[in-house]
Amino acid sequence: MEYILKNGIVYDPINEVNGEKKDVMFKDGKIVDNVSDSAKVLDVTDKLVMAAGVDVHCHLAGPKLCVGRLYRPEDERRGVKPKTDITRAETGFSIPSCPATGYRYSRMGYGTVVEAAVPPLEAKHTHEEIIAIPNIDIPPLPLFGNNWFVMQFVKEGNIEDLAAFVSAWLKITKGYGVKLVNPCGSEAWGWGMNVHGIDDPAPYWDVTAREVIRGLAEANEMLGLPHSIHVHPNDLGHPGNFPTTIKTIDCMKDIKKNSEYRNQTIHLTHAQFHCYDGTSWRDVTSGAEPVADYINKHDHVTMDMGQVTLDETTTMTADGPMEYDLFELTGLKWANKDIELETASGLVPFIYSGKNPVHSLQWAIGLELALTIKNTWQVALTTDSPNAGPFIRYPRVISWLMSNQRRMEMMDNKEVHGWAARKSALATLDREYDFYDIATITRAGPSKIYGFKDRGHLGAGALADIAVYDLEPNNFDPSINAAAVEKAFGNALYTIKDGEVLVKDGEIVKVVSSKHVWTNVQGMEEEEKRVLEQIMPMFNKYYTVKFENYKVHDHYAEPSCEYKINASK
Amino acid sequence: MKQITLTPKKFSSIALEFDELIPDEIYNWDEAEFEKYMVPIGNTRFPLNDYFDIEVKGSAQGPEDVKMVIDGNAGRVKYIGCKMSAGEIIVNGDADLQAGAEMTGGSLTINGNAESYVGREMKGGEITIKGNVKEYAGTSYIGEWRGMSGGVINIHGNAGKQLADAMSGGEIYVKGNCDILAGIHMTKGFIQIDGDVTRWPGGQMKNGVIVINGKLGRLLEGFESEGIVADPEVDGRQLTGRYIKYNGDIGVNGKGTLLLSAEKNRSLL
Amino acid sequence: MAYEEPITDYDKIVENCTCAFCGSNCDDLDILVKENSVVGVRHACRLGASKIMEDEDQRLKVPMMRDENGELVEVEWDTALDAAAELIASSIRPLFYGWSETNIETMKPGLELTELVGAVIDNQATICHGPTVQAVQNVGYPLMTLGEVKNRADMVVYTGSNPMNAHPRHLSRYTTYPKGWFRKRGRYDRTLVTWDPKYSDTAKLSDIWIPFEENGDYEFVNAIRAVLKGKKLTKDVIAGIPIEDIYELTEKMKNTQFGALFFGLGLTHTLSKQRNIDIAIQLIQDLNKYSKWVLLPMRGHFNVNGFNIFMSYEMGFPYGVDFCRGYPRYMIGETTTIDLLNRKEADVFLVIAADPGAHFPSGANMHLVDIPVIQIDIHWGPTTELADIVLPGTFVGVETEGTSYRMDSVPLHMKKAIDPPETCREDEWIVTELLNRVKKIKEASK
Repeated sequence: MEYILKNGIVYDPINEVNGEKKDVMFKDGKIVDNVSDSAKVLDVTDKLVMAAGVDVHCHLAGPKLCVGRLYRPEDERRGVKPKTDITRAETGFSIPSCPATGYRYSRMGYGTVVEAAVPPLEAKHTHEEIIAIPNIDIPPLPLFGNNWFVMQFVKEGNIEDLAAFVSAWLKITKGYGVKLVNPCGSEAWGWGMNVHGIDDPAPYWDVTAREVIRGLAEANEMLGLPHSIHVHPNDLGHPGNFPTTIKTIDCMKDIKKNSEYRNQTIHLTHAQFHCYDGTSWRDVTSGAEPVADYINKHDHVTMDMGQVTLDETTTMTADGPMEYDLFELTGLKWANKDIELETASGLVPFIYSGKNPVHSLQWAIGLELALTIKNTWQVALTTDSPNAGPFIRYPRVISWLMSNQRRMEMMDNKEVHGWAARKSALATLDREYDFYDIATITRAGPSKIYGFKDRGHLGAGALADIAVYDLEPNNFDPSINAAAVEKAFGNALYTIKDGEVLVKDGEIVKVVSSKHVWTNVQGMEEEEKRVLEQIMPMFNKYYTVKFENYKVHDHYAEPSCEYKINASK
Repeated sequence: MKQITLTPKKFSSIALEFDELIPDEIYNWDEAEFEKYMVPIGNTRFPLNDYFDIEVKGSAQGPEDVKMVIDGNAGRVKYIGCKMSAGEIIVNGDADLQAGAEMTGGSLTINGNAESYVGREMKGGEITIKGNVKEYAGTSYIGEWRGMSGGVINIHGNAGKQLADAMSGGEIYVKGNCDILAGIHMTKGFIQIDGDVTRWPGGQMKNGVIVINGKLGRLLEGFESEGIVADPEVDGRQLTGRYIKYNGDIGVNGKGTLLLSAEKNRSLL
Repeated sequence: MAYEEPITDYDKIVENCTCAFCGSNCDDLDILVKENSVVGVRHACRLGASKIMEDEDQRLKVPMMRDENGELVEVEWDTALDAAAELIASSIRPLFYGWSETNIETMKPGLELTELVGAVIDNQATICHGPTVQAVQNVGYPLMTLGEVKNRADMVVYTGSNPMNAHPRHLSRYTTYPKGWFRKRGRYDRTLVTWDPKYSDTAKLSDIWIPFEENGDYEFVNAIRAVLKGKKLTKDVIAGIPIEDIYELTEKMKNTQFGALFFGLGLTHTLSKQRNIDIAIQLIQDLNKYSKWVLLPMRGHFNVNGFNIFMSYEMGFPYGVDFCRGYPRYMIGETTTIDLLNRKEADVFLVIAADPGAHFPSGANMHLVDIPVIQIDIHWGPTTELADIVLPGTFVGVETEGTSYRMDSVPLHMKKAIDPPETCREDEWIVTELLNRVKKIKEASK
């Protein structure tokens, strides 16, 4: 099937197209340079056209999502929508059901969403959820930062075997890249403890986050994985944590990048939660400036915002101890799931309010980061969904980034507490993102960060993943129309995935299966075999499943999108 | 003033759901619209007039002008008065599950017994039940820690288990007896029980007031006695009589108040 | 006890099969096969082994329907499936119950059918750990995988649960006897505690047995929490336990390094029902201030947790989900099976991989007598006596592969060791056939 999307105003930063009136043509699921006369015409004259969205970090598919759904029927009830002829019923507000997740991302024009944290032991569960989520491709990131085998290899300084382990585990879990969450801290949580800063050793293992971060970064580059290590640093959410954040992104800067597509060797995730100055919740101030300053001076780092949206939401992370702290703070129902030999996780509902000084400051910090970091290719838009807010708020965050007027209005009208203006630099930042910048932080940049050559842009050969929004860039000022920006980005005129129209006028018109996107490292077979033999006695003795049953069988990851890469020797 | 009288004429074992027939939605309906209405029963809808004789008299400018009477047994009619904000509903018989759930105003009177969940998540208005209520009267929705937050429930008969779970406001008066765990997880609000209580009122309560004028079977260790108080004033209310005053549930660092009639609970002195 | 020779007459061993009985989902079963027959199984406990080895006993082999005398007689698959589809398509309050002993792959078309006809879908949690789910929804869920207990726990508490009878390998494979990474001496590095009114087989093995009185759970745990907050207990005996024992137990729990609490129907089914678990969860949360504590419900079937997880990710709610109004609703006491049967609301009952005839209160079963019952199962049981249409399925975990979730939510792919009997059909096929036939009926009536 051939299509021509006619006369749209195209923003394609990877191909340096900045608001050109241009046709976009696609055939058999791929973007092409030309089509025949029998191509179906979709008239999008003057409308905003971009590649479909690429989300670098979201919690949408996996075991802790189900803990959340199961224990928050009051959240599920909030988002109930009856079934239609095409869509099934939807449930959930901050933790949507799988079908709802797919439909809601699709309606916003997204095509690829990364599941940010998967415990390998339960990876099959993540893949089952990906099967149940329609319309978006999902690369999962397995967790490595508290893994007992990883800590042993790191302690021994044995990076070659660590690399083979990572390579094998990506195949076993059908995972895309390497995720670290509170390295060493979630292992300490196995005893109810935590670590503070990157040089605090994990109890018994006597290995520090610095060593684990460096070890995994080295292994990652040794393999030449398409993505860099993806790190949720220690000390999340603690006042005065910004030095830990800077140490985290600085401690491995000497490690050489082995990828021709991405620019970074470390991706700092939900940075907002890691940019606090001060010593307590009373004297806390924004620590965004020093972190942004560091990022401005170093191009080996990328980050995503973790923007607070001022909603009642649910926090859920693999940072078990942090969630317990949040429970002590709020008294709201706390869930926890520790995973043998691998990681931990926790959940607590959270009500972010513009009346609350701390939440308002958090709101300001996320925006401050995005407005202070100069190079938009180092910035990605997220809300660490659902931790700082549900992903359905992305259009709202876009509207804030594009409109200084709206931000000032919120601060002046007391929609947010005075701390936002007083304790951060947000009120002094009048920079506004334009459509090119938005395309960069929501599609182009993310795809580069992940090494996705086939998406995030509209050049020939790319997947025909395209979004069209009901805004006319040549005739519209986003800086004074925040509400219209939010509405438009929340209800795509067209969402096209692999050349099929899935959304029209904000409604789902077609439902398709999502692809499981994972990295298949070639050329390490011998090393992987050797390492597996080596660790098998420990695996057999201390896990509670048999190794044969541990893996993600092929049929769980269908339809699959394998990124085959050749490990460099 | 518009009066709508529905007289039950046919029994359905599969319950009818009346959430669409509240004063807010039907105040401007004439008799013909009621006759046309298809009421949800299971996965289908059936004509309302298969089950009720319908009579509509008068007119209404808004829901507050509506009086709806179900003149008979509504033991298989669920969601009567659910989410209503004004007007009056009277049931001359029993009512099924969820009567008055999420109500924000108006009044609901049940002249028989009520099934579970009467007044669930109530925010305002008044519910009166002449008979008994089953479990979870004045409760929250499962998982929702902010429960009933306003309004008044008057229970003339007995109350079943777990009355007012997670109550966060409003008032409940029980003239009869009450079963276990009344006011569990309460954070605010006022409960008064004139009859006897079997066990463990106020379990895990953080705040709020429970007054028991009858005999209590078992008290939880989570409550610490402050001794006897006479004619106490609580929450702006003046009570008369002598009460043993307890604070708790200390297991949750609770600051709730439990007042037990001193005369009826001498064994605890 | 007579000595039995080891089985040597087999063609192959299918290793690492997952047991299809309780929620322990032991995945180290070796099934010995000879000529497409199971001749032995290794590593299974007597429950798992009996399900496998006694499978032939009263195995349902052919589709059946009741004749004019009310007797079950064999019919063709098409006849039975069409009759079942007709009943489902025309029902007003259909109820699809069970699911806990089949695979996730079968639940998918089952849910699709539920959504299509606006039915209620429910599983054994409704009579089992439903109160646990409710408690979790009220106050939280501090869990772990079983390997955490194996490797770290120095105190293991069982309450309202008797694993030596109901989950026989629980202590030996997961919690108490294994030599964990941090507990290299196994049993000797751990304190085993049982809280149970009766001196159960698990209590007999325990280092500490606390026999609080029946229905005393809530009061007992409330007292421990009060002690944790520094209260001096006022009574001498609480729920049948002398307060010195309560003080001592509280101190021990505070000072342990890693404690795990396992609980079962002794909590879910006694007087305070979900509040027993509610308060136990809050106790565990309190204890985390002093040391490390986690808990886990002892799920009774190998996929009861799987159904709750599956329903959560598909439709947000874990069990007792009503689709009659076109969107899912979850309301305990209204959309749950026993209530729908007691109130005589369900008008067609589909039961798959469950035995309500054996497990439901008789009041509920009395209604099943009056309505059409469609059974999908592998064994003749009390439910078959109530069934009007019987559809013979296959044995998940032995004859059919599939996904299940262990009690601690670890997903497992269950292998198959032999082919099913030719006259039986896989559960997934049966439910998909029903779905497709109901779709046809609905299309035709438009």
